[in-house]
Amino acid sequence: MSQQDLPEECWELILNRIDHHSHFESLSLVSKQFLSLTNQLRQSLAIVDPTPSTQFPISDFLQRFPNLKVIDLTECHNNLNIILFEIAHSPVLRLESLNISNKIRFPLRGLVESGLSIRNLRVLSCVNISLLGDGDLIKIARSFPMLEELDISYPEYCLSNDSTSGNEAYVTDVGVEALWSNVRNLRKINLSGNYFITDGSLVGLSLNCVLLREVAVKECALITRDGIEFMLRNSPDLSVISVRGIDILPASLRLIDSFTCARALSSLDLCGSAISNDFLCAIAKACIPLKRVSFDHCTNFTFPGISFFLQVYQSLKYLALVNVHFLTDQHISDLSRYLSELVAIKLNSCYKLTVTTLFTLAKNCSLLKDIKMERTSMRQVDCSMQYAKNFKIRSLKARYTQMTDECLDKIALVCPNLEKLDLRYCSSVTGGGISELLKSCPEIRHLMISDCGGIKSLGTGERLLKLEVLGAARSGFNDEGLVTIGKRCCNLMELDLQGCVALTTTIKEVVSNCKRLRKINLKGCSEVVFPIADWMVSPSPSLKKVIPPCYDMISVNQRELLLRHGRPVCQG
Amino acid sequence: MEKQQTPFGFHKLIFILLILLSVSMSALGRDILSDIIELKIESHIASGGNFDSVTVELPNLTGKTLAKVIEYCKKHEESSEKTGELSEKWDGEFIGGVEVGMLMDLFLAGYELKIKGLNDLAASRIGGMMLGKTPEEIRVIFDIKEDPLCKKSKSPKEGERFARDNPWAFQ
Repeated sequence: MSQQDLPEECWELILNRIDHHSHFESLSLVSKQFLSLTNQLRQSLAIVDPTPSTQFPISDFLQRFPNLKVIDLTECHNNLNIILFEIAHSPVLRLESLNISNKIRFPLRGLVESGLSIRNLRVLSCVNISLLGDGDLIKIARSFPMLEELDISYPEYCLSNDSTSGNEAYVTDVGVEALWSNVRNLRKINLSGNYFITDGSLVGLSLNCVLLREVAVKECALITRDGIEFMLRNSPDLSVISVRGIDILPASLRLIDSFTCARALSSLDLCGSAISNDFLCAIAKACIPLKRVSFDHCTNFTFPGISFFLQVYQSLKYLALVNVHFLTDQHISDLSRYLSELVAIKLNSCYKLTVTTLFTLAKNCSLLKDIKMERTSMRQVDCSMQYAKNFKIRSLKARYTQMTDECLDKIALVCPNLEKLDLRYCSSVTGGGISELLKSCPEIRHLMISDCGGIKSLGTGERLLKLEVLGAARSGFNDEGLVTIGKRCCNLMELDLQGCVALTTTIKEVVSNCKRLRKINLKGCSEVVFPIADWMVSPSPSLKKVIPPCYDMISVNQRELLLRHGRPVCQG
Repeated sequence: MEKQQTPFGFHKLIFILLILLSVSMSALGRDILSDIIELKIESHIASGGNFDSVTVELPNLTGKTLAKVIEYCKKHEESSEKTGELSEKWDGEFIGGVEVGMLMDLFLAGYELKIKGLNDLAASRIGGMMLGKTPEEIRVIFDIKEDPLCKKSKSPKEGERFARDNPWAFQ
């Protein structure tokens, strides 16, 4: 049969299976039917700078993708108010989520305008905004009464207040009050990094937003133990709480007791707090439905405390114990008995741990997918150790571990299905080690070997069909190494070669071999011949972002021309 | 209880086979009919047809495809009684070795017979085959004869604007 006979809803079912819309670009050019289907299936759009200097009609896109639910303006800084105005006046749009993070000034006018028409907005993200003040928060609260998730974390404080609007350039309890009195359906809020918020905000939120489930108040210096305690006692549905640096001393019985009152608590992040064995035992006895626990940089507890805690919570999915100095390989070996349900673990900066811990976890935690062991010691392999293959482990982060080829070889044998590997700042690893790794782990998609001076090439061997992202900034890659990338990595999407000063040849070959390449970074590769003319005639039609060896080597006119081909030249 | 949750049981398929072979079916209980067959028979009877000699046509289902469909259903009925662990690997092997024409037939069979697992499996596989291909390669693989920028429907100017805007839409 001819596949053209397939009903439209069948193609829709098939295209719906494709997980990311970046694949739609090629599909949209297949046929009119595919164009229409991919346009309808598209749910999220990121609008980025720089846009072509010709009038850029956002409204065209809003009409083209009628089912857009998510718009991301994180990387869009010019004409923000105009773009928000267009979004607000789009007759087709049913927007649910908007991200306007990383802005110097809050786009108040455009946002208020959009609030009039997208009152059903559920998710708003305003992370890292300079000059975010109470006035802005009051406007948000009034404009989007149906909001369920709000993130105003980590604003960037400026010393001089914004005199033109008369706005205090920071959020206080006044702004949060507007929030809890107007937005009653709030489920998730992130207030981290807002230094001027006090316990009063937590009290107001607890009492008025009865659906509140997730609260993050890291780096809020004025929030005390009393505020946390009140929230734990008065928000019955609270399931996720993140705080930083609160001291839970054995004597603070009321605070400890409040944690055991939070019957819905499933995720607990107490980064940098002084917890005690008494606290761990109290929580263990309370049997709350914990699934995710993070005791990063926590102090004042010892092995028996954490052991008892984990013995009770054997159904944990995520455990983070960053910078817990007393932990040894033997401790992890003892604890791993209780971690049979664990999916992800983070043991960064536990400097006594070695690669033995990794093998123990691989052996005893059959569901484990994700391991982070940065800044641990992976120099030597214990030859007497029994190895068991773990087919579930997908991701390993091992930056700053002094990893050796021998060690990497063993890891590759133990974790044959690795998809992501981060080896940045492991200068002892060589090209030979990487070559062997790629033989043993054919599933690798992301490989980060930046700042590994010992790696000069990927070696020879079969083509690496799965490899999509290769980060090799400031590594030892030379011209021969570059040839191995061009030959072997035909499906590469991102390539970072920043600061590889040994490169002298043209990289044209790599770009024309890697047909799916979207981003390339060549910043500081001063000897590389940058084939500007070739970029114009697009050797790689998928290329989206180019960071040249030196920004000024491309003239304004050339930049403009590339931009019109949807290929912005960035400074990096 | 476990058995009732299987989307489309083996015995139902045998039944379809019987229908395909036009074997008398009055002896078989109605409760094992899948929704779609049931509907087709109801409409057949409603239009005055004879219950003893109903034939249900399943378009695009060749004997070869049907054999594959039966293989799938049989395996899944077996494994649902045991554990779900095995089936993921088996599914991959089952669908991996199939060529495009058969793959499309299996997808359609899953769709028409409402065998959700098979339908999903084939859809994922077809979707996976499209990744990383140029539009021209996709047209060749799936035998699609069309070009969206053909001058019939879009004016050259409109086509030009589309070509300019399209890369931006996928940043």
